[in-house]
Amino acid sequence: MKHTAQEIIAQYGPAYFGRMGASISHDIKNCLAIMNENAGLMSDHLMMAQKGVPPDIDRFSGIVQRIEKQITRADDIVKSFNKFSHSMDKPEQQLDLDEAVGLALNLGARIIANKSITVTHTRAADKLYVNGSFFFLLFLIWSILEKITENLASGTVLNISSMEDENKQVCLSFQCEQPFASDFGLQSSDQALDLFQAKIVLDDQHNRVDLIFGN
Amino acid sequence: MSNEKVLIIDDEQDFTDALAERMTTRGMTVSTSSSAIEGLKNVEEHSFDVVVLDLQMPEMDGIETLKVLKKKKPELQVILLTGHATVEKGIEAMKLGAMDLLEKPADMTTLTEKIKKAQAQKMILVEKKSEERIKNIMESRGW
Repeated sequence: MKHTAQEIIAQYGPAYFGRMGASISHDIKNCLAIMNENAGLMSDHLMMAQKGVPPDIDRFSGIVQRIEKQITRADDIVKSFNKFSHSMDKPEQQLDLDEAVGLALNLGARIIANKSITVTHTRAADKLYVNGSFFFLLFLIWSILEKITENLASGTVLNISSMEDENKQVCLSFQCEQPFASDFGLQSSDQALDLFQAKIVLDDQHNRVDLIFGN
Repeated sequence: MSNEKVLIIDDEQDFTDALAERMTTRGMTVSTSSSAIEGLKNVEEHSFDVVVLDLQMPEMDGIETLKVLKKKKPELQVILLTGHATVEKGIEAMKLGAMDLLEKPADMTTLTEKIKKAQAQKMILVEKKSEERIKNIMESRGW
């Protein structure tokens, strides 16, 4: 049964958007908390200086650097969220596969970190493109990633690599040393697979999943 | 000057470093741990009045850590910090014995007040425990 983009957005879009929004807002709060404590620390040092304690320039410099680091971090998070927010603007376009993987990982960084799983991303030497909706591509990548990491032990390293297979089809490979759950159902993303004429192939050892694009 | 012994458990090191320094300036003795596992080990090895605990952490989250802390040392007071405080989370934390739940970024004056209150609460519990122990000893010896 084929599903239209509108049907999938109506059914699964809000849940995915909400989950990513929660992950991102949590990370932004962490940035703000660090900036808040460091601004407070600077204020403490200024008060001490007003009382005659000579200001420690190196300490000030360290505090400023920590605040700047968090501003850069928060800016990256907001940029990712902005890209995500615009991912539904065009129903179909040429999409850079590695850019989508990078964004999907950035959006769900907090969720992945909470599982204590390390996800590495190996980009193809040349850019690989697929055609479709950016939102669905992100949704598809995230759905597979979440399904795979559902039962993985903490400390596991999962690698995502993009490539062209022997039939010159664009492929995204998810691989780790441990086997994934044997039941690899992907109910919601099955419908997004249709939109990319894609298929999922799970290897015999159950530790590698290939997402092969047909378009 | 007060001398509350505080442990901060949070996976954001830039946060714990700055918060620890500010608390130290306010007369507290502060240690930090960057994970729940490290924090629990720290609690086993040292004596603290209050633990300031992040709710969302890798490996073991704040709620799970709170359960273990209260089981190991019931008198230890725990203040949870979270990016988004909800009524549900607050109720769950209180039911499990947390002293309070504060939202990040937390106001230093509020946090300091909560820590002082938590230390006082811990002292009451420790005193009660001591009184009970003495009472038991006296009863067992027929005094």
